[in-house]
Amino acid sequence: MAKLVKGMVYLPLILLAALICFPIFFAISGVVMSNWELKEYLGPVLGGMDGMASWSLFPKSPTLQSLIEVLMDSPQFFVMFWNSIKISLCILAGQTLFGVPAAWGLARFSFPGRNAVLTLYIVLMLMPFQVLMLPQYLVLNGAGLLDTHWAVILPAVFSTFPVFIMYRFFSSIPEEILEAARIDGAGSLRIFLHVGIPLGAAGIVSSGILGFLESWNMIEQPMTFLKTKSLWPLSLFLPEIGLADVGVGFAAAILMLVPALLIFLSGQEYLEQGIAAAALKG
Amino acid sequence: MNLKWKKTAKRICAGISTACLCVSGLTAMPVRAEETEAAMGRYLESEITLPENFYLQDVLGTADGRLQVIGTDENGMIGIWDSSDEGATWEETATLPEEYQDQYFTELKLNPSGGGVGVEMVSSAEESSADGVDNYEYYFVSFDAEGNAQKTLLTDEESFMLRFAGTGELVGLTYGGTAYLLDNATGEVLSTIADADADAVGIAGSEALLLTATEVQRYQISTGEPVSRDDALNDALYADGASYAVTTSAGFPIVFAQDEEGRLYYATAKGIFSHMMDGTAVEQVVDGTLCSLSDPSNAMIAMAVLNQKFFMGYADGEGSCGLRKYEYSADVSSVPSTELTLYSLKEDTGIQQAIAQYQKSNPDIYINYKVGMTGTDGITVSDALRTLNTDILAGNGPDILVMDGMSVKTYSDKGMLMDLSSVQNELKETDGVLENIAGTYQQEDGTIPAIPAKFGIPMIAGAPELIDQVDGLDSLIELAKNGDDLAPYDICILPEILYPICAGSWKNEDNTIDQEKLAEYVNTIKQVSDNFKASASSDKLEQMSWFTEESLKELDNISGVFIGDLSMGILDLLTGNIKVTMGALTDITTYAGYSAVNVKNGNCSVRRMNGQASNVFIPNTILGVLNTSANQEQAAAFLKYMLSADGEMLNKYNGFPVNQKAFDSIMDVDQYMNGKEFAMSVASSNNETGEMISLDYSWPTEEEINDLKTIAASLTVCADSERVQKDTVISEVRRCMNGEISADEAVNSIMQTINLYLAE
Amino acid sequence: MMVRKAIKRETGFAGSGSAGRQIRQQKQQKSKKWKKSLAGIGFLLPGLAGVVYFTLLPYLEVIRRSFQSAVTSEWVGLKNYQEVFGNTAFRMAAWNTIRFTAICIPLLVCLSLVLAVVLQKLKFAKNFLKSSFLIPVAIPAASVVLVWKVLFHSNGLLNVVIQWFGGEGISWMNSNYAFLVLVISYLWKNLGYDMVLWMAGLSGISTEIYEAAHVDGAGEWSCFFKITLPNLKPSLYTISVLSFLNSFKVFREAWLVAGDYPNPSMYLLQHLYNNWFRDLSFDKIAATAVINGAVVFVLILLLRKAWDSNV
Repeated sequence: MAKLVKGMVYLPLILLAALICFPIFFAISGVVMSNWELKEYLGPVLGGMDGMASWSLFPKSPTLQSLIEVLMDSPQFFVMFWNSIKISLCILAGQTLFGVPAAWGLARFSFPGRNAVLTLYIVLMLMPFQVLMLPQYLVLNGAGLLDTHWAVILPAVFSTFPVFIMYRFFSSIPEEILEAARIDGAGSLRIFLHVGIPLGAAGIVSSGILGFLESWNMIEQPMTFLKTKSLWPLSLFLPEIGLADVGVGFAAAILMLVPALLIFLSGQEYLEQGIAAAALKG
Repeated sequence: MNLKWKKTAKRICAGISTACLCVSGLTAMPVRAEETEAAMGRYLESEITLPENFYLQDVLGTADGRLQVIGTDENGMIGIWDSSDEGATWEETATLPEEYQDQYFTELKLNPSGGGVGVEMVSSAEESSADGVDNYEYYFVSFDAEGNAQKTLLTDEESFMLRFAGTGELVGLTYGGTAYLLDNATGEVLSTIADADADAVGIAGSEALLLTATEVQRYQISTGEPVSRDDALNDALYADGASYAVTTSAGFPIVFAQDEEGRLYYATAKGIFSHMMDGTAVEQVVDGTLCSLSDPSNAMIAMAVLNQKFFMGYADGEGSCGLRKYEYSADVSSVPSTELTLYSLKEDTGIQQAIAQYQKSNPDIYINYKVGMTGTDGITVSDALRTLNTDILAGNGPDILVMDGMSVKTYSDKGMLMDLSSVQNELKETDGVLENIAGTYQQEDGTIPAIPAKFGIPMIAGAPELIDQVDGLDSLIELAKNGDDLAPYDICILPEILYPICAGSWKNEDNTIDQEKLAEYVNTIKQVSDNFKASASSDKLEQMSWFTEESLKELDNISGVFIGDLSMGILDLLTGNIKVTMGALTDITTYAGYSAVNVKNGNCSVRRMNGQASNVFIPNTILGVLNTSANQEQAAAFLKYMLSADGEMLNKYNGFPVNQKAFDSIMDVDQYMNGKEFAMSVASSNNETGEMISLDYSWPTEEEINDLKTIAASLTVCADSERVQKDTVISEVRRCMNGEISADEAVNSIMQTINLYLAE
Repeated sequence: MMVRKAIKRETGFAGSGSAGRQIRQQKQQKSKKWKKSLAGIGFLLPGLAGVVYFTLLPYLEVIRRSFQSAVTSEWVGLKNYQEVFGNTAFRMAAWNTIRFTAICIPLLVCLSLVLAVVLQKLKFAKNFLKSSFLIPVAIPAASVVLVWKVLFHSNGLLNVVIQWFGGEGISWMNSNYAFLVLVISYLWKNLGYDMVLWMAGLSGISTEIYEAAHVDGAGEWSCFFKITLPNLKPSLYTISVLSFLNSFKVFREAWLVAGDYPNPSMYLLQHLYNNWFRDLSFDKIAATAVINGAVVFVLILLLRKAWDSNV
């Protein structure tokens, strides 16, 4: 009986999980659906047709037509795809280069103003982009960076969120380990490189994953700072989706999703550790 | 050990500080490298006077330094004219026999070694009655330098593009994209050069250059042997996905020419370029954005090179043609000294035309035209405006704003627009101005933040007994009970048609929306649409389905298309398909069309249409100069040009001019009666009977013209064209028309949005 | 410098060797400490410089502009603030944003805690379920927009399901239910994330405490309330901050699905910022941004204080 009750717990959980993952199933089935089938299902929603929308997770005649159309016939898709990759990777590299030492400095040293800096980082982290849009535009304009990828990359490199995550992680390293290294005669930099980074690797990776997802997902920044359309990232590819190109919409959505999902799945373990570290007291 | 670490640390510190220096260096870098000294020298464009009423078909620079043209003269005779002074004077050297008078030639080409060839299109004797379409025969015509001609019936696939090599070989390109070597005398195919699916062909020495959708292919003309690719040329031609497919019968998107040394020149809308085959460089000789080459209403016919000058035969949008000379001038700076930026939300060919013309007469000014919504991406009005305003606030804004779709009030309330009263006063003193239109944005303190260059008038056309009843919205509902009186397209775009004559009356004094008035607008459209659907024939209902929201969106993206234009219903009124049509009258041609319908059936007139507001006009090309501009004076000078009679007459279809002189000349009936330029007819076949219907436009009578003038003088209310509000209203109303939501829901939803919008 | 001084002193107090050594040690410790904090600043500085340049200075500029007029940059004192507080759209957006935060964050925090506690106890498929819940974190907003449109349209799939159960279709995006849509997208995206945060907190509680409690005869519920919850308190601060941070991101979905003017019930401050931008009302944006920043700042201080006093 008790076993049965325990088993019963699974039912709502699995239902909930299925519900949460529904958008993925929806997109996957949509991408292999032929255009007429999509129109038949979604006409009432996207094309002003009468009746109600319907859906089938298993297409009647699966086809890769939409995917092929996006991959073969829209050269701008590739340009935007590589722009996205470039922007995201540069942001990652920058966050690692500047964010990791900053987090280490905040976590393992005490100096005057440290608490103020921490509070400042958190407050800045919690500012919506729109608040800073115009002054940031002015700064970038003054630096001659507007309409280059740097305009999107640099502000994101100095985003305070990854520092916050990594700070938590570095704080959780026991002081004894560092003390032992210090007794061995290691300097600050050596401790950072040989003790801090390896022990904080999970935090760095997880902040990297979150950073990638965030930069892959950027919409407002490139739209404001990039004028030349050949510089735009993929997140701006999906235009207003009408019924005529709904297949393309699905294909683009899936192609945008895949890299994010791959990064997520390959680093999920670290991501969880990283997220988890944030919850520990620091 | 410790020491080593210190070293590493030092190195890393050094690295970081260098990186910091680099970043700060970057920030210190100026945005644009200022040129210390203005480089001098540039090609300038000038117009060459052709023989009177000459329609040019080809131009050539001969080996002995003469300029040669071929074309049709005012009597329809085909002649070859020479000029030994680069176009200052012309002399006819040969005329083709009379049998070719008034014949239509799809192609006429001069042979560098004298004479030339052409393809004549002749309507054949037998007519296939089944589809009512004439059958045509094509003849290859060859003539010598004296005009002696011979013709051969073409039995093969017809070549639409003929090109001579310098040595006299003739290359023909078919519609199918195959290039042949042709016999000079008979047009007979001697050999196939290549079946490359080419859009265009050019000649470089002994090679034919075939331009396909993706690359330029090279073949030896005589043997058809492929030649290895010229990367520099290929990259230059296909730099940003350019296409060279021919889209109009008036001319070509690209033309080629060669000079004596074998240098290749080609011209596109981007400019004239020079290239030595297999060389590494393609140089821009003439910048298209600085001259008429970028004018979208022009199509290129042919280009010749003579004495380091270029001669471009072109056709303009109005069915006439001309010849332009591009000559190097060492006295002007290589780039114009002043750059003005002009911004509009939607691309506007009328503005492009004006820019091209203005730059030609002002070589020291370059006008950079920026478009907010190109229609190729998902950019909405709001996105575009946001980007524009960020630019303005950061000091990077444009100089001139074309404010169609924007809110003049927002910009003028913020004090961002320069006072244009001096521009208007000057205009008043010279050409005169329709003050009721041009002064519509005048503020209480007398300043004028913006001036519309053009305007349209909401009108209703059709049987007088019906349109006389229409006054206000209720009568429309009544009218729609007889669905077959109305046009399905008018019903589909009814929200757009009624918006300008209604929206102005919705606003309360406290900056909120009068719900009753809005509800009246929504309910009227819903009921008209319902009444129409209940009573119209199945044919008409089917036609309604052609106008989906998407197809309308696409239409909206096309430059120069104005949804809610009156011109659609002319033929349907003539055939009796409909009895009433509505929309904005923006040009005299449309007015002439309805006048012609009246001549034919005696039962058609055009009246001003009133909705919830009366005496409304629709402003178009609303011009403003930003206060933040560093070149306000030059910007105002360009505005003066756009508002001058010349500027206002460039595009006759996007509205009536506010310039009095231009307006009067358009309304001048006599001028049209005498002028040739306005001969126009439309034809269409009836879906059911296959019967052809055609209508020759006749000029409005003096009475009709006077009516129109009276109406124009009575217009006092400027329709709100601000897009954020308009788009919201129309998309909700359309959902209501489709039955997705009820009229009440639509009204509520619009109220919420607009009130929010106004509260901001 | 300091070391040299210390040596000098040593020679000065040559007679009392032990006392000199003590002083020297103290000085050395001080200098070591100083060096250490210098190293800390060295680590922080490059990143901080960037933050100052790209974020802090821009924010200071916002503060300056909040006292100026938008275009002419005249000093107008508190006029912008007055205007903002008198603006009905601002009041609505601020109210919606506060309402959203006040409803969503406690809801998310509680739901994810329940889920975490349940999941923690599972034996099978724990990781699989965890992954499933976490996946929305990885789904870009642009990819999910199409799904949202199809789901929440008045002819959409959600209404199909509702009608299937005999209910009446709801116009999700065009009625006050739009707020619910906003809440759902937020919960959907962040449930897994917060759940993992909680699970980390849970795993930090040593099992010995529970065992001891069980020995004392405590039941599941009293264990939860007497041991689990108090031990999770430290996690609460971070979870709240991160949930707050993520609450801003829901704007992307809302904006992509419903545009600039959604139903008033889901009209957030970010919509207002966006629209004011279009209208060149930078003066109002600046004033609102300062208010926004101040509220966030006070909130963070309060949270920290509550948290500090608890730990």
